[in-house]
Amino acid sequence: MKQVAIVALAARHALHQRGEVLFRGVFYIAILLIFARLWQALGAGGSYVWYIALTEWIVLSMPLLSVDIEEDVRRGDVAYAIARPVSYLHVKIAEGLGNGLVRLLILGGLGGLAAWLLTGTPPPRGLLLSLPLGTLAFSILVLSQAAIGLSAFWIGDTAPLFWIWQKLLFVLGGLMFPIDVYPQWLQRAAYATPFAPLLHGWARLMFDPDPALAARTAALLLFWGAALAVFVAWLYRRALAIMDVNGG
Amino acid sequence: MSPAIEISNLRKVFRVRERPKGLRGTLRYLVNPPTRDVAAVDGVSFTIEPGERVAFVGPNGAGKSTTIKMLAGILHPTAGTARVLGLVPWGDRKRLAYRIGAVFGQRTQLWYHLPAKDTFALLARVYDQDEATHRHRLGELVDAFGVGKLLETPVRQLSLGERMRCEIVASLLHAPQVLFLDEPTIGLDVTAKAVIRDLVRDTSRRDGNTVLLTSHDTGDMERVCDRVLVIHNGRLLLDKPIADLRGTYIRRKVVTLLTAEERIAIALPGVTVVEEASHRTVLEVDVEQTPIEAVVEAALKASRLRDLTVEDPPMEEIVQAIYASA
Amino acid sequence: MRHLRALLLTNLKASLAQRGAFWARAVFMALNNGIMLAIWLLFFLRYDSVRGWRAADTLSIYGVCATAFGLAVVLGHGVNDLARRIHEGGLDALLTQPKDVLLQCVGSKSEASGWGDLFTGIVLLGVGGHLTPAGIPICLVTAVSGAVIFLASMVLFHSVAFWLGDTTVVSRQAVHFLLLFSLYPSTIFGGWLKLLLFTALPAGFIGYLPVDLLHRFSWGTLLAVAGAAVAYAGIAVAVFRFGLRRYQSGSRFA
Repeated sequence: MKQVAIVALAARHALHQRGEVLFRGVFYIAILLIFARLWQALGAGGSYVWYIALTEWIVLSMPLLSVDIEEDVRRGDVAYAIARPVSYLHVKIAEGLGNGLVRLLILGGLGGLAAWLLTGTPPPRGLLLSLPLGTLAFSILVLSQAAIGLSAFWIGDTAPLFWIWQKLLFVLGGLMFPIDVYPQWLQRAAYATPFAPLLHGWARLMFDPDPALAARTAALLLFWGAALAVFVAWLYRRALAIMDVNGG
Repeated sequence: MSPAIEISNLRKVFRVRERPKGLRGTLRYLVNPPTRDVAAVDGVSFTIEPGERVAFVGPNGAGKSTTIKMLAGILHPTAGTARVLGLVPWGDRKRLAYRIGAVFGQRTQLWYHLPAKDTFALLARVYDQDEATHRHRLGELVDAFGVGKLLETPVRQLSLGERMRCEIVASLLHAPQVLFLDEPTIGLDVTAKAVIRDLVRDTSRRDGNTVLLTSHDTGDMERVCDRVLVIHNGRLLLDKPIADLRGTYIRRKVVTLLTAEERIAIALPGVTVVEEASHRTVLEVDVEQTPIEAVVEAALKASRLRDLTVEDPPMEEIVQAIYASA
Repeated sequence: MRHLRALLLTNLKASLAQRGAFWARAVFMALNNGIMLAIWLLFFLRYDSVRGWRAADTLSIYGVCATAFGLAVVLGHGVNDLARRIHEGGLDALLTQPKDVLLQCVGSKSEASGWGDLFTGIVLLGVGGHLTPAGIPICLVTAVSGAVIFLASMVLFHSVAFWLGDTTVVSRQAVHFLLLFSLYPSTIFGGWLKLLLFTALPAGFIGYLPVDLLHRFSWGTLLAVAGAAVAYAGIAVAVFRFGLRRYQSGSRFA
């Protein structure tokens, strides 16, 4: 499949930009260091550090796909790209995944090592259950970035939208602290949105490696992922229609 | 009167780091990077009297910008001495700064999002000018440079030529005795180039300030300066009045004619055909033997002229000619 | 002094020249601070204190740091491009002018988001109950000293470019770290990390000590904070001047 070839190419490209990943890595380790101290001070277990190691892992691995698409839209490059035999949208998503895959691997290695040195071994069953779900969540994040990028056809500057989306993810997803520390009503509200399953939903398996919980999160992720996929496809069709009218 | 600029055996060596390939090379690079010395300016001496307009020319990377930056106090030399208006530029940088002006063609000192008048007002403070002096001087320059209408426009909306005019006004506001211009016409179109050249020359004649300009455009030196210093590979190759140069190295011009006719023939002494295509003829003219006017006249007679350009030979060619004769 | 005032006014005027972007950046930054603080307050709803550090302390540290950082980038965001200017010869024009190169360069840009920081900072200091007749002078001192230490650290991080070439990315990352460590409950850091936060990454002087000062005034702490500002400024200026001798005006030879 062409898309797989693009994923591989983007991954190889990302491998050549090791500097950038390394900077993210240093930042990642600093965050882990701070939170290890924080939870130590509270007498909490290492699972809390492993929790943030997981959430930051996929957040820091995210490629800036929305910026990429917005630039293509602004320069009018989308019009050329759609003349190719493979869908522009698929290319972009494949590029994002390929890019992200490399980062996931490198940052995963760095973060895993750091968290292990800071707090000791993770609950193996929790790790086993959360890693595949985290990768699924990561793909959904890439997909939502594609949606934000495509919105450039209507709103021009996508930065504010990205920013709001990111902040919602941080707060309602429980990036820094598991949302179990929030008041009950806020936890329920968070789980009514896609944000809680995207981070907290699977990273909490570090505290409670319950297969039933994992299955529930998987169902939620699949539901939101499917909904988002339908939405992105619809958005893309509308964007193509706009280009037909305006000529890109 | 003491000279405006006096330099002797000036040298500037840059230490260049060489980044090796591979992981081991990179590690060694971080600990103890291998270096190589490059002499950008390699023992240059000259003297410029007050009020002289001197062109400092040479091909790219010849060392002209490096020299002018040492004279403006931007770079410290590796060896040699220099005095500008009696001061050592890198030692007495701030005192000298009140008395010199500088324009670097590829960098702007104007605030991009603000109208030029805001930069000018700030510069008045930088140079400790009082309100009345500033207004008087600005008025003079605005008239001379014809930038009255541009003052209120944000700089980002000005054309390159307009911006360069404002740039030079900015460097002249504090009435410097010496003006350094580094590639003042770079990137400008023919008209804008001509305007800038005339303005620089006329201002210098009126105010009596010394001008040292670098360029790799032969036109800059011909229209602005009385004297030319040619530098190549960090060494001074030639120091002559422009008039002398005209008789020897820049006596040739390249004339391109676009004509309605397929081909035309112009037979004049010192005129040779360099290139001939349909409707297009390129001539090399020895202006000592036949002036450009005569060539144009002959072309008008021989054809229906559609377009005509007269160009100076490129700097590289002149430097090569000087080499050949030296 | 008149020159500095003119520089600051020009600089503010330039940042206001793009009115839309100005407001967007300022408002977004204020919202950003609000959200980060909200996360912490939620945390402190569950955990009463972290080794003696309470919600009120986090409120204060956000107030102090946002004010200081806001002040720093509103007045001196030119420092954000310092490494690149060193590497590419962007100091040339300033070097031909008779005023201090470092001051001119630092003051050559104002970051609009800083107003958002200043706004949140002052509001938080007010909410924390520090804007009393006795508290205001302390807030002023810590805001100014914090801004000076921020700027001095940025100058130091960026001056590395005199020796190592274009370090923009690393230098900005270092500034990012300084900000990151300034905002966390300082009581969780000990040992070598604490040493780091009072030396190379002086977050301790920007956040921790000022908060201590606001909650338990002592002349000793005040002196330490003010002294640190003077010391860091001195070191930054010295290192920059030393580096300036190596300035190559962007001349590179392949």
